[in-house]
Amino acid sequence: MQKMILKTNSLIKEYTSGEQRLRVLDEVSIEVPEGATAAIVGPSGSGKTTLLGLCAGLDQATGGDVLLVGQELGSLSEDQRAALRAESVGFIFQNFQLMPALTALENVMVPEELRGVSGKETIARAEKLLERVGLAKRVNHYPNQLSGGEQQRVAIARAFMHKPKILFADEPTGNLDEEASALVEDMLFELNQESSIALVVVTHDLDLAAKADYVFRLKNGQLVEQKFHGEVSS
Amino acid sequence: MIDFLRQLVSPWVWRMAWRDSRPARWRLLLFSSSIVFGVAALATIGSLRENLNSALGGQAKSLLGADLMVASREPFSAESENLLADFRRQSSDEVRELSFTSMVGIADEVAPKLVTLRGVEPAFPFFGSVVTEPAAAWQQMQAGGGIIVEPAFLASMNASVGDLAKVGSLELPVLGVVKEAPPSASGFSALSPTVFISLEKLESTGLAGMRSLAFHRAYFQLNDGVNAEQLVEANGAKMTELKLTQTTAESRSENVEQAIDYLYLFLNLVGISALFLGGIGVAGAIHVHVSERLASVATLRCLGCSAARSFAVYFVQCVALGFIGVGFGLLLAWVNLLALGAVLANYFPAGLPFGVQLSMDVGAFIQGGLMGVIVSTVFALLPLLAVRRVSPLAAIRKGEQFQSQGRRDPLRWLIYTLMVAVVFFVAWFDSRQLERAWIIAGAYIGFLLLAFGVFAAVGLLLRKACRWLMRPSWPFVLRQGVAALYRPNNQTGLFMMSIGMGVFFMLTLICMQNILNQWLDPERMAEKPNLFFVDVPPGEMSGVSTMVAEQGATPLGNAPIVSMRITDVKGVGVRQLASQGDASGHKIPAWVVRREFRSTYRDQLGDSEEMIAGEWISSWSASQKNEAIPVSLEQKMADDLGVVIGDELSISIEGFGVSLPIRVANLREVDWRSLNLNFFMIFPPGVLDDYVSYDVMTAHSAGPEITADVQKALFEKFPYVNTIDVSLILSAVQQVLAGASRAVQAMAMLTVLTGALVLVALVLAGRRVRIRESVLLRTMGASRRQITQVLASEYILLSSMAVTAGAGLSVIACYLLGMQVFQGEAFVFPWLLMLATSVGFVIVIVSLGMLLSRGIAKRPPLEVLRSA
Repeated sequence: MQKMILKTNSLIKEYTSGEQRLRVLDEVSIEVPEGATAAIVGPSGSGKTTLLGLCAGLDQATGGDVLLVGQELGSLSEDQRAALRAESVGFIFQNFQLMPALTALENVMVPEELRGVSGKETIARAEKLLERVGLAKRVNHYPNQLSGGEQQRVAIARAFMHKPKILFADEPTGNLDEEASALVEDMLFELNQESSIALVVVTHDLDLAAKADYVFRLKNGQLVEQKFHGEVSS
Repeated sequence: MIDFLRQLVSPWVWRMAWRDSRPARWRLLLFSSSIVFGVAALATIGSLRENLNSALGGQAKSLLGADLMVASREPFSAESENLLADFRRQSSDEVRELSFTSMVGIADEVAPKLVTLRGVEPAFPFFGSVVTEPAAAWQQMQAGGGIIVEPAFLASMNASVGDLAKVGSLELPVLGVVKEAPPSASGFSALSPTVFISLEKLESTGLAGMRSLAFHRAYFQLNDGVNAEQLVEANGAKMTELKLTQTTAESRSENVEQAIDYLYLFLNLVGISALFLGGIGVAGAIHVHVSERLASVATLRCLGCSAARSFAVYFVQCVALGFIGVGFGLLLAWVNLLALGAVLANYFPAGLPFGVQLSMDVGAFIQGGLMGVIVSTVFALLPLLAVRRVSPLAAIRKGEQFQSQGRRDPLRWLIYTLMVAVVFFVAWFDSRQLERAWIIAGAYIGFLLLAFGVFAAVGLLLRKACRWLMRPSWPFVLRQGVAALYRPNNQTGLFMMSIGMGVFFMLTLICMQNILNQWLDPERMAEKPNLFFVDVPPGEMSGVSTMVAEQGATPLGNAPIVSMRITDVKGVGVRQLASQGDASGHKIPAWVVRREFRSTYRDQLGDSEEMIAGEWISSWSASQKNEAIPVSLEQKMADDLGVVIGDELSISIEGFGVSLPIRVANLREVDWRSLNLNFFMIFPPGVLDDYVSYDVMTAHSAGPEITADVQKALFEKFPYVNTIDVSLILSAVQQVLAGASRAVQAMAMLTVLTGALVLVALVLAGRRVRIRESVLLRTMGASRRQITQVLASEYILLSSMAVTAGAGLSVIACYLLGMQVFQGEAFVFPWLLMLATSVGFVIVIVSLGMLLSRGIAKRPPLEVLRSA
């Protein structure tokens, strides 16, 4: 039996605005095995990003459970969830979220440094990752000196730096042109294959979603469709 | 909290703080400069105080010139001489001094001037030095060869060393001038020049016998092992009984140190205000810095960085900034001291008085530095709280930045409390050596809270008013400028505080000086006496009056003076009342026992007094022997004595050995600040005529030429009559006031400079937002001219409101001061001066803002949109 790296059970998220309660996620249950790739798709406002945030421990659910890397997130404090992310979770964002004051190399090193690991070996590994994403000559450049595609590649290197067990990507190609998107997509899946890191991608891009092992389609906060290896199961 | 403290020693936190500061270092340095002037002021003033105190501490005895001084307003009585003989037996040496005010003339063409004549015996002073030019002049003077004068007096008399001066009936040569004067015990010497003469010579001038304002002093150099304080304490009661006052070297030193402490406290509070204002500047700047870093914080939080850790990164930056600001502040303080030393060296080429050495005081520098770091850190904490509340979700969802509303954050209130506590502690710490330090610190914090509260409230009102008043019909550029005042993350409140506080300080000082100068203006005295003639022998009043009128001055009035003491009140001796009080426990003040009252008699009230109770007695004759004389009593004095209408007292007439019973017939309210002849006790005519010591006369002189003519004529015929020229005294006070206000204005200028720096920091901090807005406007077709007009309208509105708020507070403060000083009398409020200065402030601020915003309208839109 496959071991699940991520499992949600009847996940609910509600927001209160004045006297109104708005349910943006309605009893969503998904499972992602170790090393697998998954895509969360759906129209705008369907709850994709909310689901990603809850799965990664960035927010707390109103109801239901999230089991991430064997840990029940509901029982963890904010700092404990942060520690779990530092140890086992990687992120790639739509708007790259590189730290503007840090060079490409320093940005890549941050996850390792947060875990208290630094030194020559860390620098060498960061340089190797940057080389792997084709930015060997841009290690000392600042984000504003890089193109969008290059920034996202730095973000990919950063996401793999501390060898996480699972990687969350929020619209990783949303801000890129077609060519850069293709490059980033390939890179993501290649690295996933190389390092067996589970990948959960939120995307509008159906081509990208098609490359994933699992596809979860959301609509109005509900899971309306699940795909596995190209087969549709409602 | 423990996690946060643990993070502070994490190398990554420091490394990250350093890296994160890269693109903003110059801007952050500018932010830190907000506290530079406050720290510099505190370190400079603290060093000056320590320099002065250490110089005085080593020369406590030089301040008095002796171990002990005993003084009396009348020649020492036989009983007093017995006590002084007892002191002499415990001393290695004793010298006597007689001093009084008198007219002295040198050159014929210049009018004689009122001086303080100090007749001293050769051994004075025992401690400290006297420097004269030529050096041998002091010895020659002691040998009776002439007089020594102050250089300024000699210059004002158009005379030089060697000229003959007329002192009473003698003509004596001016032997030299004092470069470093011996200690002075007379307060009046600050307002009149001092002339030194040997005691023996002074007694032979013929002036000594008829002085109303004479002081007899005995100085003692005590034997080793004799403690002056203990000696005074042991003989305190006896000395009070003999109407003797005493000063020891220690008490004189303490008085001087206390005066220095008060001056230090006042100047230092201005310095703390500058630091406080700087703290607000730091808070505003950190707010902008942190706002720009929230995305990075969210990313860090996503990547697994704890809230405490990310908070520590920015906390470290703030503390480092505080240290940098403090470093520059201390450097500026050091430069200040060097510059001050160079400036003072021009005034004191032979070295500063009492050997004061201007140098950096390590303690004061450490104290100023610590205050700077504490204030900047505590003030930075408030905006830093936002870092703690950044949600990792913000990295994937725009607008989702805070986990909770800032206003509800309990830590926010804790920091507000901490801010108030820090400022209170700093104020208390500086005034702790003074009495009522808690009250001083409380009043100070109250003032600051009130001032900043007013500015914050005006800022809030402005934002609300702009939102409420703005109409779509207004011109586009004006609407944009007004809208900038209440947009999210606006700096309206901070602008109000930084500009308002600086304007308030400067305008208040300028206005106060103007009002006080008006009060001291000799022209205000057009209808009032400006010449006083003292020590007029009773039989010569008409002669003096005629002579004054002949020279062109207008005699205004005269009063016969009878010197008396109060011996008992309602049948109880005043000594007993002062020490034990009456049956109800009411004690009278000690000064009543010591004071020689100079009373007069007249049949009507004067211009500067008003009867508030009882009946005015214009004539009276005793119907029976020992009947109490009805007198008019000044109301406050009656309160001090605990007497009401009808109560009886006893007086003794000085020099006549007569004791008389008196009865309180009425109470008067007296305006002591008027220059009329005012008295505590006024008798009806006919009862004191035989006991008059001397007469006092007042006159009005229309100008200095007439005053000079009067002085010359009187000096010729009545050399013992002292002419007090009030205009000269007022000028002297004005000069002292001008000097003091220059020092205070220099301090206030630091607050203004801090306000300006905060303003600069705020404008630069908001530059990015303004660039973004202007680019959007330009993208939509706005011209550079329109962008510039939008900016100008924003700055004009901000500065005019802040200046109005500062000026408004200042007007209230100055108007209250004016009412207090003039007591109902009309005075001209300097509206025009206030208006002109306020407009000047607005012009400077708008120009500064526009200068710092230079280039915003020129930025290519594409470049900015791409970087955004």
